[in-house]
Amino acid sequence: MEAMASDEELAGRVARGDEVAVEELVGRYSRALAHLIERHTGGRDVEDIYQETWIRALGAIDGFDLQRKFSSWIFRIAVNLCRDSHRRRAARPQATEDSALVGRGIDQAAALDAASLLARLPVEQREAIVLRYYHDLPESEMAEVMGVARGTVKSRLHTALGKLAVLAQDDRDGDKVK
Amino acid sequence: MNDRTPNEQELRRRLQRDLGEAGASAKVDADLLARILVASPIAVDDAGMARRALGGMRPELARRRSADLHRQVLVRVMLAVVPLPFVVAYAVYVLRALYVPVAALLTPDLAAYVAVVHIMLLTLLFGVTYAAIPMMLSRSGNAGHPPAAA
Repeated sequence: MEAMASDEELAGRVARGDEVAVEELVGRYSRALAHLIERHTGGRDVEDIYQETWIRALGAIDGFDLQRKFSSWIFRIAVNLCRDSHRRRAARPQATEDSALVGRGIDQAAALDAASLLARLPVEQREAIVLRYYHDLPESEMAEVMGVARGTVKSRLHTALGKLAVLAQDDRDGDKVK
Repeated sequence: MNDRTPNEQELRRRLQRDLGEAGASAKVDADLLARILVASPIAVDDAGMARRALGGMRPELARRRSADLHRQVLVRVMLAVVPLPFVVAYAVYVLRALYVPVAALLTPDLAAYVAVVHIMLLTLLFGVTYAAIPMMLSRSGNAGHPPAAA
C-alpha cells in the first residue's frame, strides 16, 4: 500500500500544477480552514476568505519553504485575510453585530452566547483563543501563524482568557438580574 | 492540527493546562469557559466551499502544469542534444565507409541516390526521436490528472 504523502510533499507537487495533490491538500484542510475563518470573522465573508486563502496559497506556493509546516503556513494566510476583513469592516459603518448568525439553521441561542462573547474580544485575542482551543495548536505554531513571538502568544492567551471569564460572568450576572 | 470541534471535556482539559501554567493568580473558571466555548456550533458547507475553491484554482494549476512541462522538455531536449555531434560524426563515418563499395557496384548517380536516401532516413529518425520527447512527457504528465470537469 502506498504511504500517505505529507502535506509538504503535496505542496511540492502543487507547485508543479498537480491537480490530484491540490485536491488532497484542500480535502485535508477544508474543514479546519472553514471553521477557523468562521470563528475568526464571526461568520462574515467566510466563503470569500476561504476561496482567497487557497488562491493566495497557490499563487505563493513557490515561496513555501518545504522545511516548514504547511498547516502553519496556510493558517497564517487565512488569519491575515481574516484580519484584513476585520480592518475593512472597521472602516465602514457597522451592521447589526450578530447579523451573520441569523438564519443559518444552528442553535442560535448557544451560538450567540459563545460567538458574541468571542466577538467582544479584540481580534488578536480572539485569534489566540480560536487557534489554541478550537484547533489545539501549540504555542510555537500559534506564534508562527500569528506572526508574533511565543511570549506574546502566551500573554495574549492569558489576557483573552481573563477577559472572556469576566465577560461570561457579567453576562451571567446580567441574566440573573433579569 | 485538529479539524473537529472539541467537546467540553477536551476544552476543559486544554483550559486547565493553560491556566495551570499561568499560575494560581489567574482567577478564571475553566468549567464555565469550557461550557461557553463548546456552545459554538459551526454550520459551514466546507465540502461545497472546497469544491468551488478547486474550480477557482484550475486555471492557475493548468498554467503551472504547462510551465512545468516546458521546463522539462527544455531540460530533456538539451540532454538529448549533447551526444548528437558524436552520433552524426559516426553516421557520416559509416556512410563514407559504405559509399566506396556501393559506388564500385552502382553507377555514380545511383550511388548518390542511395547516399541521399540514407541521409534523409537518418534525419527523419533523429527528428522523430526528438519530437517524441515532449509528446512522451506530455502523456506521462497527463496520466496523473483527472480530465477537467465539464
